[in-house]
Amino acid sequence: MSAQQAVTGPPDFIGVGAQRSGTTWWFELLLQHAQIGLSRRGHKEVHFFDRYGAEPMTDEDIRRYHWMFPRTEDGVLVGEWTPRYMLDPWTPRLLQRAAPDARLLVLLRDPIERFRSGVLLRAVRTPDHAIEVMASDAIQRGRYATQIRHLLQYFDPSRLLVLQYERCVADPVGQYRRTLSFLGVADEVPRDVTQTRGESMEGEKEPLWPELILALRTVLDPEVRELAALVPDLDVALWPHFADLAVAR
Amino acid sequence: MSGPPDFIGIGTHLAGGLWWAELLGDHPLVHGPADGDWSQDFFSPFCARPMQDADVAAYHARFPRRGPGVVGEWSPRYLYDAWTLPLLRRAAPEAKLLVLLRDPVERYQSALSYRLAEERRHGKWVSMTDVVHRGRYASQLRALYAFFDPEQVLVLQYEQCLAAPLAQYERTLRFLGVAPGDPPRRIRRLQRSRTHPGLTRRAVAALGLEQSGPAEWVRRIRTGRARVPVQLWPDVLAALRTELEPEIADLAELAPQIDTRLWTGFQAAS
Repeated sequence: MSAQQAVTGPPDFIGVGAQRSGTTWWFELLLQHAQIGLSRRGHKEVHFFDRYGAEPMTDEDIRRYHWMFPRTEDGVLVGEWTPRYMLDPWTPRLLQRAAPDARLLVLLRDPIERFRSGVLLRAVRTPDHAIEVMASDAIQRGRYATQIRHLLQYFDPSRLLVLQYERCVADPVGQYRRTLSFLGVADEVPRDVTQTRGESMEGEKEPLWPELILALRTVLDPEVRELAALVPDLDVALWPHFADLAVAR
Repeated sequence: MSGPPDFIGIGTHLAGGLWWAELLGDHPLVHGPADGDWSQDFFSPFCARPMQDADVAAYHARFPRRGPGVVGEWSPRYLYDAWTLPLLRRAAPEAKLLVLLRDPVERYQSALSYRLAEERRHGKWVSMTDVVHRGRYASQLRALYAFFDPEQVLVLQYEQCLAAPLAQYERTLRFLGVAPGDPPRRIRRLQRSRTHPGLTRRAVAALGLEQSGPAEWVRRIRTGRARVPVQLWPDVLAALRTELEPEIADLAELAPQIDTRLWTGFQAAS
């Protein structure tokens, strides 16, 4: 059956966060599995819901979303991964309307490392950009607990898998198998998964300074504490900037 | 001679901060920065590099003392940009801080009307994410109080400033250590229009032009920039409620002077 003739419907899985946390790497590894396929869009990020903070989503819009996910073969799951879905406050409710049975994936990373990776690196590469807009956005993206709490208002916890980037780097096979099990596909691990991703893939890290770390921790500490309660198997000790909170637990 | 500002308005976006700063500036003992721009946005670059002592000196140079009175600025980003708070403490540890808050649902409506008009004019994609995040008033105040004594902070409410402009104006001046004296003409006019709202004033309110004067009303109506607020729809109202209800509940403790019953947009959403 061609993709044009295929039955369509809501995606089987949707990655909803977080930006600069290894989601592209993880999604590409998932696509190597024989039972996991891509949307008609042809790439990882569909960004379908981004606009609905400025206009209502109609039933026709939902049909357009479903059209992007053709089922051409039995047992093959289709999905997408748009890291900003978790950030945009209107999206969890719209996800429930458009894909109530989808399984949701979240990949999180030390939020200060995310800031370093997203903002400081960008500031060096494109110094003329309005960096403060990006920096505040990056801080908001690190409010993981608020975002997860919001998702859990619309989805049962059993439909949400929260992965940790640092754990995926340290144990890709174990975390990959955990992801497959959550999605309900065969436990087959492609060879590429066994090749560990090094932290060095991002190149040299821009230095942080004490005042910045203090400001970020003031905002993010309450979030990390709440997240540890919401996601009990999260290992805060793996987040270098928040490891002391793990000791305090 | 220059030095750290005596007062800094630090928030929040689309809540009338610059309007209030200009009204304060009508008082003979309240002065703005040397370049005449109330909104200095000085601390933005320091999300990407450390602030040096030379930067602090450059900040102070923006506030020359020309005579008696107080000098300050109002940059609505400061409260939202989390890295700014420890820098404010270093650059102006004694400054009095002003925060003006507004119904977060009305802020959203106002921002959406403006951004949709911009989209029509320039084809810009409308993103509203930051508008919701800027409405996390309690989280922002909590972070602020980690660096400044709450005694140093005056939290004002836009709706109270509109309803009783003279009283809120005098309250602000007293907080800044300035004797109110005779109110300037704009405040007197605003207060009169509150007490006896005429047809014009009601029309101006309906078009969201309350912060501007007659010349600006004519200009904005001619250029189509008078905006009737966009009506929000159930999905987005529910999202705002889910996101901001815990924040509003926290505000009762952090800023008890805020009367959230005046936030009719938020009450309606709830």
